Amino acid sequence: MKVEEGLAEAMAARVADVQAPSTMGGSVRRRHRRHVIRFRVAGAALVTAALAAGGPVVLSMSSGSSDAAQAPTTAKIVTEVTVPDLTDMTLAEAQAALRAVGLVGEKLTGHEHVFDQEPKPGTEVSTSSTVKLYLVEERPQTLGDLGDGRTFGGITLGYLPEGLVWSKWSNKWSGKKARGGTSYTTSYDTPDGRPGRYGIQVMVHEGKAGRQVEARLKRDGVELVDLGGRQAYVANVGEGGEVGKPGTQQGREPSTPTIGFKLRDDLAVEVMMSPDRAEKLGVEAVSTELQKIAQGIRPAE
Amino acid sequence: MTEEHEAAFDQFLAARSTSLLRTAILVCGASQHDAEDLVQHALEKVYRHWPRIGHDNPDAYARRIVVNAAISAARRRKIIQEITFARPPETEAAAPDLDLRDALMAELRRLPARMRAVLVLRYWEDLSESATAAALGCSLGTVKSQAARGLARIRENMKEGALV
Repeated sequence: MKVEEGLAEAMAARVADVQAPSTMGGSVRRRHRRHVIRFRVAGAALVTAALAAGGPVVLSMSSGSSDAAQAPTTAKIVTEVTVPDLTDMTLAEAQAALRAVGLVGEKLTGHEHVFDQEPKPGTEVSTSSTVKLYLVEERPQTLGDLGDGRTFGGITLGYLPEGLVWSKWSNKWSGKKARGGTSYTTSYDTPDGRPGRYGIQVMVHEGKAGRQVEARLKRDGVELVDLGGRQAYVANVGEGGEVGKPGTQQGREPSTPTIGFKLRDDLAVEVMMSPDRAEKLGVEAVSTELQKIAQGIRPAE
Repeated sequence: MTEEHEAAFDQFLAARSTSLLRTAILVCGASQHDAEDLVQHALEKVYRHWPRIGHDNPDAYARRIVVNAAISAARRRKIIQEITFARPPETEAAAPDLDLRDALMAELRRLPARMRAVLVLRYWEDLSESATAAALGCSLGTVKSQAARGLARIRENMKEGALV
């Protein structure tokens, strides 16, 4: 036998029993959301609502068994328990809650607290099943103590909706591959807002970092509004960056209502509202609130 | 992503994810669990760029990302020395060539990651030399020389007379 033939046979035999799990699509999309979130706000804009509408509910079985990989999601289970809701728990709390009902927790990402889990709360699974835990990364406070949080990145917010306070979270990053431009962001939420959530997030882009805002001002599918002489776009932005009319949903997840404009030639600003807050307010009020915040933004003195 | 894109991506996954997972396992020598993580990571990139690449040979794009990630993983973690390939007990227990296969896989694992990737793509995926070069982002000459050297090393190290 030739060595390449023997090798081909050996390789085929090695992986003959390997099957991609039926949960691959859901895992990829969840990973995608985490990537987008990390990229945009380094861990601030986690929205449980965005995760509720996602991929198929599946049973988490240990990988490595081809039977598990091929099993239909309606597999018959002898001893079932209900997966508890672990949202916002620390890892230790989540592990304890799982142990209490005979399940095992496995941390996949992050540090601070749980923002997603697999299987979802309420799913019936067999005892001793593993529940995958996704935790929020520690939130950076790059810009230090901003006081009331209204002045950062060269701008000042003249107006914030009633009931919102600075979340004490902020971040700063520079353009990819040193193409220039620095961006700053911070967020605001209700005083009882849980870590990792936000009500309103503001991003400031210096120089070339503002190109996205410029591009969105010119593209179809956004609504253009006048902010007392300055043109702004209002749009709903999907988790993958897809842009659509206010009130519409991009892709499968709730979209983020966003307003963007150029404060100066070299300074672009975007204000985003969490899908959670937007849902409570309704389409009209969302647009009004975003415009009001945007209108109140001026260069910092 | 539009609904249409989402549906097309799901179809792509159904058709290709098992094959990509198998390739990853062979190239980086990892367990299925680790390989799944690697493939998920690679597929997230495919998903991110799907509107752009969905109509333009996503297979090749995905394979390239998976193979390169698997090579990096193998280099980074030196998986080769740490992972033992467990054969499921129920498979082919009586097959006469079992020792030969084990020995071949052991030799394959001893090769440098990129050389191993060339052999996996050429002889397991059955890709042409040019498709292999495209997947690895290297020249045709590199594929030829790496394949020849890889086979020669395995041949040398195998018990005499078993393979030519």
